[in-house]
Amino acid sequence: MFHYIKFILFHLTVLPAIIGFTLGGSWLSLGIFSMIIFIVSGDLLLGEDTTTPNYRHKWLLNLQLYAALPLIFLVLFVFLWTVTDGDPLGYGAWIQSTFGYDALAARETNDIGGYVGAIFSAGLFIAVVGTNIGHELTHRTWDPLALIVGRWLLSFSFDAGFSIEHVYGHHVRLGSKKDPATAPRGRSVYRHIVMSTYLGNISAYNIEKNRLEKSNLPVISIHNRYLRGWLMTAAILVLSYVIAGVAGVVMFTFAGLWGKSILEIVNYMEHYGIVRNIEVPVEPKHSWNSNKKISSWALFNLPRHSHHHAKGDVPFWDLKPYEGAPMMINGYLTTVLIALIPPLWHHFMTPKLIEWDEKYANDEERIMAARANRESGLADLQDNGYLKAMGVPV
Amino acid sequence: MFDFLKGNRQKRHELTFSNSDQSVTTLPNETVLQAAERAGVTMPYRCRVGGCGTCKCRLLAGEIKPLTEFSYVLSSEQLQEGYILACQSVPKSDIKVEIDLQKLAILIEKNLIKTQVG
Repeated sequence: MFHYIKFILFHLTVLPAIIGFTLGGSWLSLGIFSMIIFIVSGDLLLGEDTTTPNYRHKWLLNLQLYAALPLIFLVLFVFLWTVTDGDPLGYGAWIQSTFGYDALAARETNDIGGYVGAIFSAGLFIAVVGTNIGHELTHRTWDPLALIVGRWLLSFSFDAGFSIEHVYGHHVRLGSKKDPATAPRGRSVYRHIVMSTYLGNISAYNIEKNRLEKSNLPVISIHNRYLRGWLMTAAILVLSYVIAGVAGVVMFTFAGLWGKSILEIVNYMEHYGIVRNIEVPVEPKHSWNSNKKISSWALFNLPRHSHHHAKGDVPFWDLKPYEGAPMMINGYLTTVLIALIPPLWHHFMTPKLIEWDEKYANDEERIMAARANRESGLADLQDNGYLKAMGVPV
Repeated sequence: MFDFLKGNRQKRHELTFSNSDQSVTTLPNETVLQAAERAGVTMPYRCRVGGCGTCKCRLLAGEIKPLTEFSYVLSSEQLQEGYILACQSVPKSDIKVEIDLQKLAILIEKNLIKTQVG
């Protein structure tokens, strides 16, 4: 039973954000601060979950996934409620009558700093609730309901095109120079956010264009799933305008783009510096894995990434921990924070890359690694001393 | 999501590889590639999500349920000729498929695929 309930941690993480938005004033950033404190300390203190339960009632797990859709609309609504002049759906009045807290008066004390915190909070949950579950659901290419819900979840971060690029692009090109989501050695996370977003969108458009041309359908048309994805985001922008006017549109845009940035930070952590010949089957060694307990529960096993890539046809509940796979620095949120400080990132990751080349890479990959090292601009990698010592022709 | 409402209607089917006449009984919801691997039949593959086309093979008899849109990687001519993606095909009846042995031989020679020990 516990193995069904553990993923409810995901739904519970949203509560502090909603409470914070409602309390207003200096509480607006409660969501992001409570996540950082809870997830980071949880992963540091509670260790790993390497269990592989055999689930019988998969509908219970699916129900938890689909709950993400109402949840993300709830987060969006309360987030936008913080910037309206009115009281849409009578939310403030309801809080007053139910809990005796004058949320409308508290909202008057909101200032610009508070709103910045609210945007960071909302964007984090757009990534955790929207992108994370959108990823799991859009892998179910055989299930129309999963695809529709998944693409709506992704469109909160301006990224319904991810449903195309990720499955038909990233899973094929992983670790190669052709993959927008694989950051080459030496690239900073900030550059990666921009590059991967730009090239990922181009790739999604081209994959979709290819599909339509193969099917003899017009590219600029309602058949185009990439363009339809942007219409879905446009619909959320209209909804934001209806709830909270121009301020609502601005707030949602910032939060959505921050959510998209978080996805790219996570892409950066999951694939940084890995090299692979695009022609060989994907193996567990081709992505960075994490089995940290709290990250795994709050993200529906997304951190079990090595198995996800090696066997992209496996649903989240059957993902195995792959303890022998290359391991990420720590849990997901801890590693996000480290990635945001490039010198600290390289301090941890350069030894991991060297270990990857020595322990996991084959002869061909070591030659590719030597080249990636030369181009990295990182002093500790550029001379390729450890590869020369192994007899790799560098 | 509502698969559980359909009950246990998924049946097991006989999957035959025309190249070797080897056959295997598939498990419910099992793809052609997964069944081949279980039976120790070497098939080419790379991404397992229907994006690369490496596991392309020809359906000679029977029906399959596609798990993705094959037109992401297969041309309309290939679709008409009966090509399917093994990693994204679940048998709906007893089926017979033909693996591209020439391509497989090239992949093995280039060391791009590991042969399985059955």
